Amino acid sequence: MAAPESGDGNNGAARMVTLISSDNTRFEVEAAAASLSQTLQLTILDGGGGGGDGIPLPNVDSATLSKVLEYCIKHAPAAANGGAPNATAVDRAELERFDNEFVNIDQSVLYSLIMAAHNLEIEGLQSLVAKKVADMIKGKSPMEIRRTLGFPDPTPEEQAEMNAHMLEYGWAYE
Amino acid sequence: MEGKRIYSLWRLLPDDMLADVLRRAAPRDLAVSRCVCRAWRALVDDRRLLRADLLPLSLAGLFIDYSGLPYTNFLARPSSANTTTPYQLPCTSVVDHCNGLVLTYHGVLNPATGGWTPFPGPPPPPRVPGTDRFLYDMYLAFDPTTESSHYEVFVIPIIPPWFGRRRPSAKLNEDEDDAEEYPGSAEWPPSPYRLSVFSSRTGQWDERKFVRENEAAGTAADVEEEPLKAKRKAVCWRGALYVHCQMDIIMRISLSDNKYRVIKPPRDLNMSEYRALHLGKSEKGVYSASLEGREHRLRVWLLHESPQDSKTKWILKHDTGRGLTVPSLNLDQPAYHGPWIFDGGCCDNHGGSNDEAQQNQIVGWNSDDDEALPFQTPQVDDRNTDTNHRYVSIEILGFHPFREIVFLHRSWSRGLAYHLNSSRLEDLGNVCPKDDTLFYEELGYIECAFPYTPCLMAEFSQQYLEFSDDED
Repeated sequence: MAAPESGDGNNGAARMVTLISSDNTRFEVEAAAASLSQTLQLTILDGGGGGGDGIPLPNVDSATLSKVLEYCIKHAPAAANGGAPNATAVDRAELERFDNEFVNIDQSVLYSLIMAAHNLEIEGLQSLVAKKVADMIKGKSPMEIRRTLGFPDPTPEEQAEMNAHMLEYGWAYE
Repeated sequence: MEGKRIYSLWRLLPDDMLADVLRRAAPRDLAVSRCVCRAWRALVDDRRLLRADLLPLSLAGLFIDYSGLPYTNFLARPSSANTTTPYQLPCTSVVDHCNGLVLTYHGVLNPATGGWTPFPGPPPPPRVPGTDRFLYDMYLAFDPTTESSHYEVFVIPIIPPWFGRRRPSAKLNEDEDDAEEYPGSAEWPPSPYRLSVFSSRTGQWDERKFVRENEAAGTAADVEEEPLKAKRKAVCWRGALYVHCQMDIIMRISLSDNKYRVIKPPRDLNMSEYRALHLGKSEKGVYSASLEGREHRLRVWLLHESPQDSKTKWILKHDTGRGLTVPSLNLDQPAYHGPWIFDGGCCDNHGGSNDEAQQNQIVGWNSDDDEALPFQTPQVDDRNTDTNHRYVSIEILGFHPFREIVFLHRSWSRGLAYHLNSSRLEDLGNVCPKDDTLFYEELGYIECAFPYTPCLMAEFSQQYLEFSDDED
């Protein structure tokens, strides 16, 4: 699948850009994949990131960036097609399977991803990770949510406050 | 523990990102999130993420479907009926109601918003081999508090009264005669159970296979002689649809993992005496009720499910003993002094009794605040006959979804509310659509009734009025 940018000059081969993580690791990736980031898209359209230059990303470390790019590379072809219209059911199912596995990760990685996705404005990834975190609190009690997310146990005072507020929407605790 | 190590991280999550997470949570989880800590509560409240006002958390009235009338009537609580009912009522019969959405044979309607999604076609015939000539019932599953704003419609096959016998019509057609019918000795319900399901996500009828988790209720032949009863109800509760099926079993269909369980009827139910088991949702979960004998002995059970092994048990919640003490009402007089108000469907003003006299009679029957208000205590008469000493029939209309109250009707003309906790019986007034001779001569009857809880959520493809115009 040729990326839209591949036409300007670099006939045949897809145009590549270089991204530099906060710990100075260089990642070479197709412009189409990196362009899933709204933040990077403008720079790339202006011709940035090619050749010896790289685009520095001071807020994203290499472990997180490699994970982000894994997502972008997988989703770039569908995004280039304008999303779902041309995608077959098989393609969509494959992307869904990939997404489910992709967020099946350690909470600290999930946290880094949510920050990076927000920073780089990658809409699909933001929504994927936010949904995952929302699923982590689904069906739980306030105490279970605190434990799942590693909040310290509440002080007696906080506990009393929690109990008082639980009365406000009684239907949620049926 | 993983949680401890990253504790500081989640608390550092900027508000915008936390809001992005919580925006994707169901209303139930948002309500719980408010209690996690002060910061979360402030965020949920400041950004108005929780819209409890849109949820089906209050009872507006009852949809009542009468035999012989092509439309559904709406009996409203007085507080919501001061003006003309703001709801878009369907022009056809209501087949089911679930958390504010109404199912008809043509599609799903939200009476509070007018949102409407027509089905792409009639539901496909039952999918279990050998059941293609079976009848079916349709049920709606929708729970906007714990799930998404999507809904599903389940088509449940009914074993017809002629099952197991050679049908006269079969002789007319050799092919049909050869068609293999579902064997009477086979387990019922079958497993896997192939059901047609309409999903609002896809807008299509699809086949889904449900695997039974416990033993079958019996064989298909066991239901052979059972006459067709009044429309059985279904209840949506905690991620499952409980469907009242033949043999008075409840099928508990999981909405998330394609499994189902068979729940047997209350063991102490005397099969020879009772007229019909009534399934419903009320304050504490899933209930069933029966009215037995000429004395109208009312019994109510609450379904208890063990959280460990999902085993179920009916717990007797209420028993009137020798029978209901029934108010004395003169059925020959048009009953125009009940507090509830009738409102007709969308077609014309056939509800009839919205006259001034009745409007002025509005007194506070407020289901959400009933302790604070004086009861209209009807006169007591336990003869169960009217002034002409005719036998008076009492039937269950439905459960109050949030209070332990059972709605009843007496001879299709008077609505009654029976409070389980106080054993008090209250007069709701006229439930006869108008002083229609059809009803006073007892030719008409109530086919089914649904307690209506308006909901302003759910996704729809069009407006009901547009649909109605298209049809004309």
